[in-house]
Amino acid sequence: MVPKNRLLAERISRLRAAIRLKEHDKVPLVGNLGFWPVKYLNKYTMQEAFYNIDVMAESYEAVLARWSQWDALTTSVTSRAPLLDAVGSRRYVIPGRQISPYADYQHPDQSFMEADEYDQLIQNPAGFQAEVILPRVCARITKSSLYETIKAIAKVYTYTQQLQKKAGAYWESWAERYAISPLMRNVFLVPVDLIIDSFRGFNKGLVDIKLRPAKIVEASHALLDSLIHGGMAGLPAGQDFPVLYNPQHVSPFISPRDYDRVYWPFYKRMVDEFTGRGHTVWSVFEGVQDQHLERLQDLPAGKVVAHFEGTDLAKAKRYLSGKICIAGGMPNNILAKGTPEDVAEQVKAVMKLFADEPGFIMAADGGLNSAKPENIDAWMRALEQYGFLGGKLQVEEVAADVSPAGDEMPLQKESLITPWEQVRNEFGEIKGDEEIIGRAWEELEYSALGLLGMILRA
Amino acid sequence: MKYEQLAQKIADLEAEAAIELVLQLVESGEEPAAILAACRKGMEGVGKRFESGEYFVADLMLSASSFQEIMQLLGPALSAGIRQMESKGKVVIATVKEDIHDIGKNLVIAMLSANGFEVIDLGVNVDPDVICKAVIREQPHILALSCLLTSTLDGIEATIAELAKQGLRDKVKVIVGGAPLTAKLAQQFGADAYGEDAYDAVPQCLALMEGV
Repeated sequence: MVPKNRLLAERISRLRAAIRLKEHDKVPLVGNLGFWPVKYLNKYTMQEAFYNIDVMAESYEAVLARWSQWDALTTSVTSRAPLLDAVGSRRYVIPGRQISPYADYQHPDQSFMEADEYDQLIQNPAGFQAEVILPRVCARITKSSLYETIKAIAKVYTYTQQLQKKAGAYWESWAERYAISPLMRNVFLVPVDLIIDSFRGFNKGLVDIKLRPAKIVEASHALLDSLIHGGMAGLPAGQDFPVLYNPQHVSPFISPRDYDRVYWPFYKRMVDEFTGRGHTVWSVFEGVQDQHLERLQDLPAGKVVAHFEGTDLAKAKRYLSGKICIAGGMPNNILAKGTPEDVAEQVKAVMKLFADEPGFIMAADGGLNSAKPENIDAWMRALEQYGFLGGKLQVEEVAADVSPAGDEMPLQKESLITPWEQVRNEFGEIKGDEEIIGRAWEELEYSALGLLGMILRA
Repeated sequence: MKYEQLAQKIADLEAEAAIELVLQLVESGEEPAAILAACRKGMEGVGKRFESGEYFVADLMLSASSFQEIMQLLGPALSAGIRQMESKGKVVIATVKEDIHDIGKNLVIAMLSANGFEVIDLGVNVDPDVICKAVIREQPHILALSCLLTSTLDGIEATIAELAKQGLRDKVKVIVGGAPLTAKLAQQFGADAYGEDAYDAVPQCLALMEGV
């Protein structure tokens, strides 16, 4: 039996080899388990899991005890409901609150910004998000009570610390016992996804792309730097694994012409920034995005994963083979409603397509929220049968690569940061070393970006 | 000539110009029913371009939003106009139990309405029994069911089963649609038709009406 630390190194090396399009032994398998473990365990309601990380973790534990073949898991084990309640978020539908305790957590289409407010967003993106959007989304972040607002933020901070500590301990234990690591570290959004998902709403936002594209472009420019810095927050330069995770919601619904105007230039710039600093980008191309495949060929080779949901994989391979690693291949609806034979047929067909392709990672097409256990069994069996590529795996150390070149790229000051020089005068005469104070000020400004982003997106 | 222009502007997604033209036609005393017919012709053009791959969902959204704006402009005059026009069929539509997503459903409503169907919207997270009651009350030709989540495929299956249980299955044609659905699953669940995307519901419902 392979020792667990060796197995963990093998798995990460296999994923890295696939991402870098290098020879390896078998198709890596990524588990985007979503909230399905709660249903699999069938012991708690979805509401209980959303309010208690130990319940969520117990559910994951049950899945891992039965299936530990995943090379990594995409989903962060988290229980966000108390955090959303603390700020009074109106953004989501939470199981047990607005919908049955057994239903899934959902994001209804809502608009928190008017069409004539783009100029405010463009002129002061941080101020607009904090002063205008946030109080509309979060009932407890309110100008009418500073105390309620401070308390809400203190609760978010406290709860986030608790969650991170517990999640860290669970991941450590799973790495040790099941040789499984988290696939993703930070999440980033392309500006127009943020504008539409979080501010304008889907319906109105898509119409804006048609009626006021110049405003969308200007707002995207205004938001870009803070999204780049938020994406890299807390990551050492050169760390290529875990990856930066990038769900894309808007792109399937727009034409190549609109994509070239409002989406691609910003996405490409972000990917170039991240990969230039040594990170790996894992983009989830939701829906069908056949129309954008030609553009994706221009992403930096061997540094990006394109995870497809409904896009034609054969077509994707024609465009991206030898350039970008492709992920996906297992439709959720087959796992939920198909038979074990259907699952085996799917794996066989996908492996026939990617038999000569090192740049392929198998995963469900989206986060699992329904799957028959016998179908997961069939998936694992079929991969054992059809998933071998015949190459040799070079096993690397588990620690991430650190590219010295990455450190040379300075972080640009951006809109969410209040730079030292801007507040310097408020400090009056400084009797000692000003640099010590200024450095500490800015380090804390940057390190708070992650939490700030979390509150702004609550 | 002006009607042709109007249809063309709607098909070309020139929303502002189309609305301007509608205002001119209303002011010059043209029949609301004739204006509506031209708008519908324009929407057919939008649908054709969507089917051919020239237009995408954002284009459909814009056309639906300008069509709705035009309907509001025509206002009360229109209700008489609509009565003069033959409805292509009555559709009851819902997003099924435990699913609150309505973007796809609303776009289908817009497309069906723009193409001459009368649509009754039951909303989201609708229980199978509530849907059955609406089928009894409204007596639609077609019941359209939508879901976005894989987990709420169960709601589609349960609703069709409930229709059968209450002896309503042969009283109404059922069309299903939404991201996790496929033609195969639609057939497996016992639906009569599957709408592959927001616009496909239109030709599918027209085909269903032939069998009514």
